[in-house]
Amino acid sequence: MSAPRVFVTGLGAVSAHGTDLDQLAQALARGEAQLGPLVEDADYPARRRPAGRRGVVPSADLDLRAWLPRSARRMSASSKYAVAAARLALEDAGAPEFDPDATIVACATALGPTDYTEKIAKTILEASPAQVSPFQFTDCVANAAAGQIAIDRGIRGANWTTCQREAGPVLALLRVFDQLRRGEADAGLAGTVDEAHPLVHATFDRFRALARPGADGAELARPFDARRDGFVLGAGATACWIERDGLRNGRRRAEIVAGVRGFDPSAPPHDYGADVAGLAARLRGGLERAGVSLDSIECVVSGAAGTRRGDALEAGVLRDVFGPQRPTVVAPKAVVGEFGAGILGAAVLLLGGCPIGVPVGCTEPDPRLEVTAGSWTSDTAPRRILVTALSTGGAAAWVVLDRCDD
Amino acid sequence: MRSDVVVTGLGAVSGFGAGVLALETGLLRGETAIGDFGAFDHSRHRTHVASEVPAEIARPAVGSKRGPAWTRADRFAVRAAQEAVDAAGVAEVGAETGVFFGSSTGGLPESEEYFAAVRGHGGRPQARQVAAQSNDGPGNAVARALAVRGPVETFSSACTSASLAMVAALDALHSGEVDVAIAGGADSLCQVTYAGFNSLRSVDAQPCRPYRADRAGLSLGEGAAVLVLETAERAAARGAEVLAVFGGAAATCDASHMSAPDPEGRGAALAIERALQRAEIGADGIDFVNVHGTGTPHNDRAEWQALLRVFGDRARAIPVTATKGLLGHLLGSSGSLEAVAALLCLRRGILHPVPDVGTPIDPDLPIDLVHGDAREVAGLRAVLSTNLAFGGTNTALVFGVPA
Repeated sequence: MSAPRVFVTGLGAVSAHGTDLDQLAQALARGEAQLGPLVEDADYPARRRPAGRRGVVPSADLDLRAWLPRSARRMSASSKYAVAAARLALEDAGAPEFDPDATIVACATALGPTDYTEKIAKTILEASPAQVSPFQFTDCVANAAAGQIAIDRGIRGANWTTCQREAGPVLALLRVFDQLRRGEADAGLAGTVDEAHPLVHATFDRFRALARPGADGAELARPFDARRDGFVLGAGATACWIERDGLRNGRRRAEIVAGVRGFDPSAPPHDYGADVAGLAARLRGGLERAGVSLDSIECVVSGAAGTRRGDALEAGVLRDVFGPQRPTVVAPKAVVGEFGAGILGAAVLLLGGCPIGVPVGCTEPDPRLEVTAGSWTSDTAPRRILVTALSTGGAAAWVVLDRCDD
Repeated sequence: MRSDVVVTGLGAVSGFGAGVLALETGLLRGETAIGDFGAFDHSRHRTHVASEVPAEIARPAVGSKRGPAWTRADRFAVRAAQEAVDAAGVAEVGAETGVFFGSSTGGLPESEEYFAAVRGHGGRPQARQVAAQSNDGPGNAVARALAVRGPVETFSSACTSASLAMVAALDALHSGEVDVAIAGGADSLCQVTYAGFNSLRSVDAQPCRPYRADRAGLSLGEGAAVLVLETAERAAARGAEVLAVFGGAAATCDASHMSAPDPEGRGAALAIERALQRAEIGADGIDFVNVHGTGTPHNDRAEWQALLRVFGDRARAIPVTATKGLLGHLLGSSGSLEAVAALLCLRRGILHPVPDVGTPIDPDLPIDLVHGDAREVAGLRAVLSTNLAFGGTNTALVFGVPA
């Protein structure tokens, strides 16, 4: 008996564009990130940033109450984003009925509920361990978001939380895909969530990982560009409702076809590695085993975020795998930021016909990379895409998604 | 029992010291490793005991200052993984090997140091303190140390992190994604979790007493444990010694409360039933259970209900080992350490005790807890190891003796 087909039938996102997927799609088409202020904290002044700490983050004024249970008042920001995104994904899927014991949740987070963890650490350090809030502690664990989604939706199958930084979103998607293909579940929610706490921004800034403000104060992530100097921090949540055999109540947004996972042992703990040949061999071999031909891939939705080493590694792998006949490469993290899984949302929207434009900061391609942040603006969505996710610390994951012509 | 995946190597770092031998010796002696500790200043905390890895093992090796930015948990993980791989005799680790790891704290102690420095409480913030602070640090450190090129994934689902890693590893072996899986977990003591569990009044001021009538909470611990898993075919082809069969595994979620298990044990029971089904054995095929057994009133009661649901009246008669009674709760990595403990008991035919603390088993939870002296049991065939977590996740692992 062949493995069942697996489809994304619902998409939800909480982002700088609120909960509005159309607004997100318009930003992707324009190639322009909507940066907003992080919640200010006098403890982490932004000395090098005249405009303050900024990222592609949900507005502090964003009202999610319509998408949250009453118990949300005790939730961390991560849990609120994730629960809201999950509800949005299910609504987008047409509010399907599901067997709670045969449904799973797989959530990824790179940074975890940083706000609550920071508060607890501060309380211990500067007040007393006895004053730590039990509610904050319960919701500061990395799997708080996944647990809260399960409680909110009554989902009783396996509940996974992956912490693998930039590779997390694709790994979470593949976790659901694998379990559905094996018949261990009928449906699942794959999500990713991250917060943008000023301490996190300050730490990345300290290590010069973030895009630097230009003379005009603008911060631009420039994937594959000669002037690239870092990523823009993203936050929020993205959730995909995924079903076996698809089409229960809503339309099919994408088919998950295959996934490949690997690792680059040359990567230091905090940065990208340089094992282009090894990663390329892993990707090529994985696609071949899955029966996916390279020339069937019409577009690469790249996880390149504008870092020097990360983009170089990504470009090297794409060159090695595809050779000179490369598909179009788009780089949506210039718009959605790093973390918060905006890349998954971008990929699914692209397959639904939403164009992705050249990022506004990408006007001087780095000739050494031989890969450019392009655009897909055709009236016809690509038939098949490859989403890439190379991570600092070494993990790598790729997923192949097909357009659904429902 | 389904026997296409086998265990060929074990490694451990625990409150008993480094190595599986130290672990087994400590377990069989049944003396607790929970006591005073020096990983951090706990004078301002509500309780003052934990199970700490001996200092000479936990501290960084003498060497170049420009060595890898390893956290405490990274060091535990790599040491345990190297022991497991050496024991398995796996000469080549590479493209068809994956690392599946669990950690709930990662480099949190080092992040606490960094945070204190940032807040002006001593020292200068250093890159090494935050470079490997992510929860995926230990798993990545293992993958780097062993030059793995296959899938590497870290799960951070609180107390089921490492056991979920083992579920994922089993899946990857069954699907053919890997031929060898290095599965395990690592966690280290830190103030956030110590204060956090104390804020819930979940920590016993004394070493924990799982399933006792006067149990008052858990004890925290640290360490790492790693299992080398491979296909039976591969192990046979290279003439490897098979330590055990990894028959089946499953995970569920209570979906009821973030910090308390479902008091009816329904989710945990479902995980056990599914694991048994996947292992192709019935409940009567299980000869002993290594319980999650934290020593909190809620956990032990819920777990008992789960055992009753699955085993019926036999739940009163199946011997139970409760490793946390000796080594504390290693949080994310507890599932892997307890799996190793369970396998050591299975192989030797001797079930490790918890200390006899002079108080009775809770009469409402009438399990056959092995306590006081180790218990020799002839003809052991299979063990079930269970874990329950914050967020409601439950896991069940089934191991058996090799054919």
